[in-house]
Amino acid sequence: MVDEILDFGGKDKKSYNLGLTPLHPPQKNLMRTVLGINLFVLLIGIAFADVMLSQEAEITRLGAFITPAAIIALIIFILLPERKYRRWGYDMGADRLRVLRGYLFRTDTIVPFNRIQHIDVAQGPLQRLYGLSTLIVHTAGTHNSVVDLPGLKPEDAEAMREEIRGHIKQEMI
Amino acid sequence: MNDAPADMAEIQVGSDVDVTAETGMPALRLHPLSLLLKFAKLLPQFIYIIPALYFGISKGGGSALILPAIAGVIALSMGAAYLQWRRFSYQVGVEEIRIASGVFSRNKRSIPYERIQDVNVEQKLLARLLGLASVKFETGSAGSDDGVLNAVSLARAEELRDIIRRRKAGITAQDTGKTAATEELSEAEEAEPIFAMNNRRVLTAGIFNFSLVIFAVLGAAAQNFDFLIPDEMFDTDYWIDRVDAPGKIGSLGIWAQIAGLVGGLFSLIFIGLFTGITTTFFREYGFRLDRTENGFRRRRGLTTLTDVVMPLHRIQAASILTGPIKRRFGWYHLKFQSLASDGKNSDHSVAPLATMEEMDRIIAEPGIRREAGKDYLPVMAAHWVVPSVIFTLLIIVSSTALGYLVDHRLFWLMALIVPLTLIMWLRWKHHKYVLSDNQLFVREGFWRQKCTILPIRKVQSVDISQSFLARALGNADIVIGVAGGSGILPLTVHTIAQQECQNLRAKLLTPALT
Repeated sequence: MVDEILDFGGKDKKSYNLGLTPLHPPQKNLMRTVLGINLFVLLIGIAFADVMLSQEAEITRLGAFITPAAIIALIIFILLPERKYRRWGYDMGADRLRVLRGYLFRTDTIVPFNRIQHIDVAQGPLQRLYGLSTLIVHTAGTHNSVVDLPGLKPEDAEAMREEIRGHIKQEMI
Repeated sequence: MNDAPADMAEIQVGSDVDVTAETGMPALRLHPLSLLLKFAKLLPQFIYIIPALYFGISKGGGSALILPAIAGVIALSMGAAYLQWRRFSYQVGVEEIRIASGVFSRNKRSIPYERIQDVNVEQKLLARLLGLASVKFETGSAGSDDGVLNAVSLARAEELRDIIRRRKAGITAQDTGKTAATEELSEAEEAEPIFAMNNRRVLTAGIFNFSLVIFAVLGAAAQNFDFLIPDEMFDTDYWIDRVDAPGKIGSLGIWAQIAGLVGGLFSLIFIGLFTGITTTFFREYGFRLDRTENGFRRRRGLTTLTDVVMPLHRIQAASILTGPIKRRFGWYHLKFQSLASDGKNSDHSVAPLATMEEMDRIIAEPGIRREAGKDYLPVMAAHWVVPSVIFTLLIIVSSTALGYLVDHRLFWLMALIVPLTLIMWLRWKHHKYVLSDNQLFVREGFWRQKCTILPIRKVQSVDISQSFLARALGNADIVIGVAGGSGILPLTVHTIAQQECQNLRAKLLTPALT
């Protein structure tokens, strides 16, 4: 039977992930690293445009674009990873996996174990650096055919995979 | 016509194809005439090659080389097609079908019978003329790359389907199986179809398929082939000069102008009807749906004949489509959402134009009930209010800016707010849902009305998703993962109260969690 499902988007601002299991803390650093790389590439582009517009075309003064962009990027770099991280959460129930994610657009997914087709544990180069793994769950549904749960301790991810594997049944569809 | 080539398809592959005799069955080739089909498929590509060749050679000054070059290209691709044919073989084993293909990199695929869900037989126009058919084994794997035999003779295709049905049923003794299968088949031929459409019905369906898509197609064609069209074609002044040389339109008087408008409208309607009726006739001609032992079998098509099998247990959900006018006449379009794909569509159309009674007969077979037996529940008003407010603000800002900056007549763009709000409101009015007796009913759309009926044991996953706006207003969407169907527009109940979301999700997941 369905046990109690936690209130989604509760009014208590402190419990952003509704008291679900948070991701492994290094995930915050990984998110910040990835964000930093993306922002850096974006800033290079803006800096280039800034120089072209001020030096070549002489439309604007040097720094008219890059200065505000750099300030905004710095604020995003400092604030966003923390906020996104604390809104991630997962829960391994007795018969289901629940994944909560998203900052402005939130999604709360429940996948029953016996609807899971197969499971992957993946680790990219950056994740290896931070000692993290992603659990990837495949369902038969066209929507949510792949549910990703990143930022797990590799041992945890392995343990979750073993546990879910025991529940997978043959030919659910 | 079909009998003679049937034997030719049985040509055994010699030692040049490295198919091992693991299955103990002969390795067979596709029908030799399938080379013609392949060539016909390549033809459109030559249309692109020829201008390239033409420009390339005429620039080089060697125009005498054009013909030999074209011949060379054609010969090369023919040769490639021949090699591919020669290196393609299939074996019908005891437990599986094996397909070996590839000229340089060999690929051997084995498809176990128990994994084959559907065997579909398709005959396009040319294939029909040659007495050929392509056989497709649907395995339901996410990659659409299932086994296809393109093409064998029709008789061989039917024989293959019988073999697979027989093998799937576990009958291994060939001779007894063969008679049983042929008996079953001929029985199905004689039995009344569960649903069929005569020409009159197809014509009616065509009228409801009124479509102005042809203009989009022409537009796209004009864009792709604009190098063939003289520049003046898109020059308005040129046309005004031509048509309105002595100021004809202006001098015609108001009635003549109205007559012209009405005439234009009529021709639009005519073209729309014509397109709808023709496309429908080509697709649905001779529509026939039979109930077979473990599912449905659908045959249809005027030039391209398709023969599709749908096992009952693969059906995930049903959707009933209609429109305000269609509904008034009592017509509905029934589709089943299934794991297997139906051509390019993810849904299987099982009754393109049916009455309620006809539809009920079909829908009951997989155990789906059409009647909810309860009132449908409305969704929150935020479903139309929020987008209307956003649109209104956007339109006010942009039309004000345009009105001041460009032309004051553009202030009139603000009138768009009325129809847009009306559309949003109608959409909200028609978006309803109800959970009744382990079936979820979701209605949506005003002009294209769709009612999806999902038995909740087919639920694969459930999302509750919420934007920051919805969060402030206390509503959320429920998105349901179902096997098959559209990945872009999954089954969703929009804008329901947060608490209701929780309850609905708990109920939807009940069968999956027990």
